[in-house]
Amino acid sequence: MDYLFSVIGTVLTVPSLLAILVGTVFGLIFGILPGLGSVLAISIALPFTFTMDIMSSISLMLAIYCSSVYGGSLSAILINTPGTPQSATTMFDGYPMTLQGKADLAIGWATGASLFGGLFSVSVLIFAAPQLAKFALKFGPEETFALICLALTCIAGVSGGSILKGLLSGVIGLFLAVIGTDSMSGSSRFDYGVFELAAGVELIPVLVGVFALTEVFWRLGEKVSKTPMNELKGGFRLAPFKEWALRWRTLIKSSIIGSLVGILPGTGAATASFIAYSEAKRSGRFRENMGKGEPEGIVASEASNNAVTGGALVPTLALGIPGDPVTAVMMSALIIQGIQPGVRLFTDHGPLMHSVFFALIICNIFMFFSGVFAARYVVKILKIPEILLLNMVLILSLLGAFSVSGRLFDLVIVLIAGLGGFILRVTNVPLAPVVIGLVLGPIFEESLRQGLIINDGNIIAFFSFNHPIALVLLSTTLAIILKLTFKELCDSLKIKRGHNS
Amino acid sequence: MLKEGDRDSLFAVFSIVVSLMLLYEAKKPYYEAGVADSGFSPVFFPLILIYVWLGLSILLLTRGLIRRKKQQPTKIQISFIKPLKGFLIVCIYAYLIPILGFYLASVIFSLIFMTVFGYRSKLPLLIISFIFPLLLWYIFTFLLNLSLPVSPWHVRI
Repeated sequence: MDYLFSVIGTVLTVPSLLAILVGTVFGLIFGILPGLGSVLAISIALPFTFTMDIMSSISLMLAIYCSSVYGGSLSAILINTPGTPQSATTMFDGYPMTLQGKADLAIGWATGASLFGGLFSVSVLIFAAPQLAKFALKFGPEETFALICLALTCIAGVSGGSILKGLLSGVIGLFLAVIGTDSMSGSSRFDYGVFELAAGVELIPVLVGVFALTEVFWRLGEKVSKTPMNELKGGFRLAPFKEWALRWRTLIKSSIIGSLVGILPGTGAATASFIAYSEAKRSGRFRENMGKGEPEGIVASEASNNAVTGGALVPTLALGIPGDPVTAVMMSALIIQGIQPGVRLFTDHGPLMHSVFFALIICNIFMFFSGVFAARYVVKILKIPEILLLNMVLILSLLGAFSVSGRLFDLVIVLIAGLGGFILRVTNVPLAPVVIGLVLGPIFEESLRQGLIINDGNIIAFFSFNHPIALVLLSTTLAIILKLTFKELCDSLKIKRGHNS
Repeated sequence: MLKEGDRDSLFAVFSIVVSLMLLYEAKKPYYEAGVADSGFSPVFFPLILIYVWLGLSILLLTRGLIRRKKQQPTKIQISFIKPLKGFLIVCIYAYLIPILGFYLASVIFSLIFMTVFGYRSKLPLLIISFIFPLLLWYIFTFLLNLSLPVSPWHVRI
């Protein structure tokens, strides 16, 4: 009992609660505004965690994550434009409800489903993460290397676009991680005589540049027409319990889908919401009405996308393998505080991890109440001119990147990363693998070199039956690469046949 | 207007050039002198990455050249002028921060950025340009205890 009180007491402090409140509001605004989103919000906030204590830092990140995923539903419902990709499917039934004059009810459904999905995924996290970490204690360098190969391949393959571009993006990220001093030999690598690069390329300036600056430049160049918002009214109204009870199967199923999808690397809340919506359309009680303003559609979408939040933390905390850019940034927040996610996290920092679980519960509750109180003001937020927001995002981004080490050189890194990210985006190269490659690069190299030392330089040992887990993981990696390459080849041939006929 | 295959090919060529430059750097004698831990040089892992990078770029180039034969030119759905303007303004902002300090540089940046991109409402322009950086300066200096670059006139005040 004392332990439980101690865990709860770590979270229920003024700094942590304040961090959750600020994170909830910040994340909600970024989630509501189309085009900004969870990754940008978290990237901007990350540098500010540098001066916070660990619990406040993690609480801030978690609050931003939960509320930004939820926030996208509000603009999806009110203006038929999802604030975040995760809420794309919420539009299908949310906006028709707005046209029927039931926007407040739709927001109530979205908020309640998000709360349920979020809390469900916390329970998955509480049970799954420690078990996975225990299993991962059997991992040696060979298994770690194989796991990262699989994770990068999944992320590269699922990020959108071709597997070739995804893998290239991942390799670029891995390469950025080797710049600087080699930890094993002490030699300087690829710094080209630039003194500041001796310490390597800092993660946060790259993150901020690749996500924040690239997004700003992209939005400056986009030709988008604005949706008129003069007649819009927000509000919050919760449906009666009886209505919720009629949709309980979809609520539970969507939460399970979201949690499982979150655990897989490379997939995210957007994938989860599409899968859950499709499943609800196939087997939901009110499936005939879906797409015409049926709350079951909103329930499926929102329960699943918020259920990803807890699920995605399972591999991040237990294995040190972030499944998407958002969890990669959160992992960076832990690393900044001197906590290395991975197999020993629950052994070395057990009480802290339990506090993190409790903090996630509080974040979901704050998210719910933020929806209740903020719903009527959403329209005002949506009316803020975009250029004002972009201006503020740029100032926050540069300031945040600078504040990490106080080096002006980091601003140069931000600018280069922003330009590079923009070029990659124009050529449809996914950006997420760059960042995840940068995060995982040091562990990847270390595990490969350690594995080769242990096996006297014999790479075949990684594929041997002495390391069955590594063998399975590497075989799966190869299978995924072959499958995706084959699929791309078939698509190319179909295009060719289509042009010929 | 460019075909998607051409865009991929151009990017692949650029990628090949970069990887060859990195390969040239990795082959320098300086790195061979740092052989450690059972004979693996410090560029052992980077070399693997560079070869994979080169291989993927060549595959991408090949694919782009094959696909372009059957593709129609398409317009890129984005203008480059505005992002370029934005990038240049941000570069100037980053350059001014160590010279004028965070606050002054931010004020100038905000005024220029919003004006260049067509925002003309005076009151929000002034609030965002003057008050927002002031608020950030306060949060950083007094709440987060992080010093920000100051202007040359700061000490004199």
